[in-house]
This record gives sequence, structure tokens and C-alpha cells, in this order.
Amino acid sequence: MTVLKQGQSADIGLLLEGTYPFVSGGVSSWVHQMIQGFPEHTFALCFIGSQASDYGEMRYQLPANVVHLEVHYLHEPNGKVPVIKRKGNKQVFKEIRCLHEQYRHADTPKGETASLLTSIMQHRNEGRYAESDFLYSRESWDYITEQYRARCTDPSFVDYFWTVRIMHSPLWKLMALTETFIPVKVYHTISTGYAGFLGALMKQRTGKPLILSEHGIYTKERKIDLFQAEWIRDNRGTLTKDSSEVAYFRHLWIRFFEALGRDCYHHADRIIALYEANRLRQIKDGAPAERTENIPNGINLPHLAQVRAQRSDTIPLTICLIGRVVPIKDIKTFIRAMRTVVNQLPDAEAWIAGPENEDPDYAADCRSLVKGLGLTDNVKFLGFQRIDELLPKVGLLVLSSISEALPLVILEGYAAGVPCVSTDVGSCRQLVEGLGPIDRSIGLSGEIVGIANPTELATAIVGLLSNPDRWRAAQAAGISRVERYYTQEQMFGSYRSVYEECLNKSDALAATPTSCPRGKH
Amino acid sequence: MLSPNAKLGMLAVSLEIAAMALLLLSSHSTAVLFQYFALHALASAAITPVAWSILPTSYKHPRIWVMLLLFSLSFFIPFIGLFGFAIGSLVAAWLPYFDKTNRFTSIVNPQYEMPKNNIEAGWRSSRVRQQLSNKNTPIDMRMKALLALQNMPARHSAGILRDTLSDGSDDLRLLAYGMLDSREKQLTHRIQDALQRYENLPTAEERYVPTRELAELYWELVYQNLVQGDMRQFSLEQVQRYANEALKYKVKDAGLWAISGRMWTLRGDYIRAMGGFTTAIKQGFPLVRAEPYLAELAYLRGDYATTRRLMTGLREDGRSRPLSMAADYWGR
Repeated sequence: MTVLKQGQSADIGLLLEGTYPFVSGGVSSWVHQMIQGFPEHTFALCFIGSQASDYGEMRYQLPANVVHLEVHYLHEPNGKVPVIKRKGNKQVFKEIRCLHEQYRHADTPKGETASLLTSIMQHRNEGRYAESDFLYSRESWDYITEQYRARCTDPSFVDYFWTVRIMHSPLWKLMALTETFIPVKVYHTISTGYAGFLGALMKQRTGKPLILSEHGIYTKERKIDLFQAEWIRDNRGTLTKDSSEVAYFRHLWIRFFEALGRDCYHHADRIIALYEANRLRQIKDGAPAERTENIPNGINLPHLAQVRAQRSDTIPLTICLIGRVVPIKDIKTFIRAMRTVVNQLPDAEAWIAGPENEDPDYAADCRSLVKGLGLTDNVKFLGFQRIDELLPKVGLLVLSSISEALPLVILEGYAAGVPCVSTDVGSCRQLVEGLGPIDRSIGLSGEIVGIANPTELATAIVGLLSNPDRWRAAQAAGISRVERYYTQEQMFGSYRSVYEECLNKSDALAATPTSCPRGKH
Repeated sequence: MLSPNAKLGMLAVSLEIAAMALLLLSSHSTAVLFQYFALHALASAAITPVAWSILPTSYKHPRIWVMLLLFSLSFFIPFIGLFGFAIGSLVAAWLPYFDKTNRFTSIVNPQYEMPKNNIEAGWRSSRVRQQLSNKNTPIDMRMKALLALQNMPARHSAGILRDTLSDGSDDLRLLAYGMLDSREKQLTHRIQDALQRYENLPTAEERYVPTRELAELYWELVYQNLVQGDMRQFSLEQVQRYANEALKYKVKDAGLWAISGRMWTLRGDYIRAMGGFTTAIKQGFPLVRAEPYLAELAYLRGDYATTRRLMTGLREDGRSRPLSMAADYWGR
């Protein structure tokens, strides 16, 4: 653990996995916006990453109301637990068995999993179940071998054994973290996964309310990664292998993250999605429907209206993609589409504005694709740019992503008077075409295309840029849509009521001393 | 009942104590000294077989010399030597009793674990295509169907994957994208690698290998159905560029002439395509492999008589299933 800023206590504890303040991007900007939007509250940040080498310097200047920042790396090797022969506590392992059984049956009532988790945490705190018990005890060995025999469809026990160990190792770090994090009144996690599970553990330990704001759906994204991960072994023989069956360890990892997600959903007091499709997905993944709600992103309208005022009357033939140069943004499709666009509009220029350091290999691929397609004069990589300087010179925003939630850049573009062509992902269709009859009546503020389809993307870009009337109609629709539905004030208003409710709940808890095991606050 | 070793050990200790007592308690005459030596020698002789028996096997031979050494140690280091052996032999005799219980435990006979099959697997991979395109199938099943495509050659799966990119389900779209992307990435990385070598080598002779590789890799992008539209056109142009360059250096490269022929076929220049195939065959490209392409070319040019002649003449052993079906059709 590294403490970069030490505080004593805070109102809100933000649990951040792989994002603010070390990574720039949509979610990070949102976190920054939120912290700045609530100067009346103090924030303590707990950043969780995989390894220190994956992250560089801080990308944001911490606002004054951030009183504490600590950083944890879950996959960084820490001090080795000494190997001591031990029996392990039979009763504890009985409970662990029950807990796993419940994880296996997703429909288990929420209370049962929660109570077992509390009980196991208690065993840990009181020394009956230390990490060395998990690693070296007879009971643990017996349990692992028994589970391997009963369930594992992969022939390798060695791989099973180490998969189980490696999978659980971050959980011990998270449990230890609950002891050291400074006292806060409310926990707010920005994703499920490890950060969400930490939130659940914190809630267990302190009883303080937990808020979950999910931008993308963490479990879903993990699942897609895991389906393709090359580090997961599949030892099935040619004759026993059924290619339609996911390899056992892959499946084990997926279920692990699903369980972490469910734990977070079960413990969260408020579960917030950015738009309806994601809310429904959360419910499908185990979130109790009555605690879910939608709060869309919002933007600082007056500031961007000034940016809009700087625009000239002509439509610039500049097509801009604002986003990190990473595979999920599918920059390559945009570059390929530019080949066709330039064939038809030789003066068109594409700008790719976003940091390239997150996936340097991919960025290099993109650059060589530009070179290979003979587009070096038409496609420019600008690196990270200030939006207010960039947008007045842009004629069209493009989002070629294969996955998005509710992208802030589209809203910012609208407010600055730039229509948008986007792939049909996340809530992009809702942002371009409108949601519900009133929103739809505003008209199209751009165009939606299929993912990874350069030809369709190019047609949409050329269609808008070469038809000034259509372009102006889209610009007007964008401005009116963002002004009506996606302002920062609306978002802050919704979150203010969420925070107030949870802070009141937390104060009420503090008034009853028995409710807080550690006697915090 | 004491073991013979223990008895001998005790005898040796008693004799040695007697010898010491004689020496310390009696008069200081020479006779007493001789008596002492006699008793001490007897004690040393008694302890020698005991000490020998507790030695590790590797130290026991040659027996006479080892025994002599042990006797000397005991005889020439009075008292300490003998008691050292005595204590050593006692420890050696009793130690196994102390440790005995913890050294071995009984375990169950190991069993061979038979690989378990997931009983939930309700359908076989041959139904992948139907399973995937049926929108009423549960997402999990469609996901499995999509995953089954991972083991299929890209040439056959790329089309299905590309169709899935416009599927209603986010999960399926993302997975299909990832699968397509990883296949394309493998090829583009090899292209990058070959390009780098190509650019860094000074002579045409050295450049021949990467040039040929580039032509093949760009062709692979097209053949595996991984590029579309302008990108496909661009890849075909690259095939032409690198194939021409490599052929300039080595005109007898039959494989490259064949790739050239197929590239021109796709670009619609049937005369050049024909030229490519003819040269390939002249340079030793197997006729069996070239004939289906020639038949395709004849068909595209509207020369159906040649198509029929070539298709009916195809050898049965070199035919894939779809080709067999086409050959049967033309043979009717």
C-alpha cells in the first residue's frame, strides 16, 4: 500500500479500480467532475490497480476536497506468508463450503450469502481463518482436492490448485484493506469487480451505506476478456474436448467475477446505471430491482456554450475521434473508413485526439495502418487535447467504439455544436436518435452505424459532411437534446439526493453505537 | 529382552568403569597398570562390534580395517572414546522408537481420475451456425456456439463472425469482434515484422524472403476473409506489389505465380490471372491444384465448355466436399 495523501476521515470513500486519478478517460473525467461538483463533501480515494508498472503518474490535479488517497496493487507480490504446518478450523471450512455452494446457485437469497461472508470475515479478524490457513492447512488441501474431484472437468490438478490460489489471493489483500482504510461515512464504488467487492466488505465491516455507480458493466467486460484470454490453460485432450464447451478454468474465472459482482449488488444501498439497458442488465446479473435507478451523465453547459460561440459559419471538413487509442475504441475501423472518406472528400482530415500510452502496441498498429493506407496527410494523431480548444475546429465527431456506456464526448460535442456519428453501442443510439417520443421528436443529432463496419461509417460521415442542411439540422438537434436531458445540474441534483440520503443513514447509524463494530464515528 | 548389542555395550561400560576404578583406587604399581590395560583392551574389544554395527552401511567395509580403527579409537582415547561409542549406540538403538509414529502414515490407494464431462453439454458443434443465427436461442447457448467457432479456420468463420457484429446482443457483438480482431492482429503483426525486415535489408537478394512473405501475408488477409471493401482492395494491391517484386528476383517461384493468378482473378483481370496460372503450372505448380482455379476463371469469363471440361476432369482424391459437389453438378 502507498498513501499519497493522508487524511483522518472523510464524508465519502470512493473505491476506484483501474481508473481515476491514474488513467484518463470517460470514467475518470466523470469522477473528477463529481468530486468538483460536491465541494461541500470531503472525499477519500482508494485506488486499486493490478501492478504498479501498469500505471504512470497521476493524470489529474486532485481537487482540494480530496483529503486522502491511497493506492493498492492486487497482483504485486507482497511478503511471503511463512509455511507452517497447520490443521485449519473445521467449522470455518464448513462455512466456506456453504458460501461456495451459495455462489454456485445464483438464486440464493441475498441475506444468506451476506451473513456467511460476515461470519468468515469475523473468523479472519479473530484469527481462526488466516491467509496461512487458506494456503497451508490440511482442511484447505482436503477441500481443494475434494472440489477438484467433484467438479473440475480439466484433467490437470496442478493447474486447478494454482488457479484457486491465484484467484483468491487478491481477496486477502482486500480483506486486509478494510482494516486500514480511514473512517468515512459513505462508500461509493465506481464499478463492481474488486472495487465493488471491497465496497461489500467495507459495508459488512462498518455497516456504512454503499453506493454503486456503474458506467459500463464490469462483469460483462471481464467475461469478454476472459473468453479470449490466452493465459488460461485448457488441458483437455483431443478426444474429450467439446469445442462448444468453455474450458473449465475460463468458466471458473468468469464465475468468480460474477460472484464478486453479485456480492457488490447485494450489499449496495443504491445501484446506479447510466441508462435503462444497463440497469436491466444489472438486474439480470443479480441486482435487486428496487435499489436500481438511472442517472445519466451530464455536462457543464454554460462552459461549452462559450466554446460553441467560437465556431465559424462554415462546416470544417475535420472529423475527430476523441478517446484513448485502445482496441475497445476500434480506432482502426475509423482509419479504414477514412480511406473511403478521403476517396470522396480529398480535403477531409481526421484527428485522433487521445493519449496513446495505454496500449502502445495498438497505437503503433494504428499509425502503421495510416501509413499503409496512404493517409499520412489526412489522419493526424494529436495526443491528449483540451476539448474547448479542439471542438470549435471540428466538423463531425466520430465514435467507432465496440463498447461504450453513455459517452461524455458525444454530449460535450453536442453542446459545442458538433453532430456525431457513432457505432450502435451502449446508449449511443439513445443519444443520437432520442429515447421516448418527446426526445425523438427533437430529431437526429447524427447517425448510428454498425460496429467494425468501415464502409457504413464512411458513408455516414460523407453523408453528413457533404449535406450542409442535414448537418445543421443535426447540430440543432444535438444542442437541444443535451440542453434538455443531459446537464451537469441534473446529474448533480440526482446525486445530491443520493448522497444526502446515505449520509443521513450513516449519521443515524453512528448514533447507535452497536451498529458499528469498529466504533467508527 | 535386551539386544546383543546392548548387552555387549553394557559389558564394555562395566569393564571400562572397573578398569578406571582399578587405576584410580589401587596402588601405583606397574602390575596394576598392566591389569588396567588388559581390562581397557577387553572393554574396547567389547564396544568395537557394537560401534561397527551402528555404522552406516557404506562405512562398514573393509570390515577388519574398520573394526581395527574403531578398536584403536576406543583403546587410545581411554574412557571418552568408549563412552562416546556407548552413548552413540544407545541413541542409535532408541531413536527409531521415538520417531517411529510420525514417520509414516497410511494413505488411501491413489486412483486415476477419469476426465469428467460436463453433462450440461446438450448439443454438438456441428449446429453452430443454426444455433447462432436463431435469435430465439438463449444468449448463453449462442455464446457457446460463437466460442465453438474459435476452433474453425478463419476463412470459414469470418463471415459468421462479421454477421454477428450487428447482432442485438452486446455480449455476442463484443466477443465476435474480439475473435475477428485477434485473428487479424496475428496476421498484421507478422506483416509488420516482415515489413521491418524488408525495409532494413539492402539488396534484392536478401529482400526476396521478406518480400515473398509480404505477398503471402497480404494474400492471407484476403483469403481468410478478414478484410472488406477498400481494405480488401488495398490488400490485393499489396499482394500485386510484393509478388511482382519477388518474382522479378526469382521468376521460377511457382507458388507466387499461383497467388498472383488468384489475386488477379479477384481483381477481375482475367487475362493476367490466366497468365499467372499458366506460368505457375509451367514452373511446376501441381495441375491438380491449379485446375479448380482455372475452372473458376473459365466460369467467370463465361467459357462454360472449358469449365465443364475442367470440372469433370478433376481427380476425386484431391477434392474437398464443396468442390466434389460442384464437380458432380458440372458432371451431370
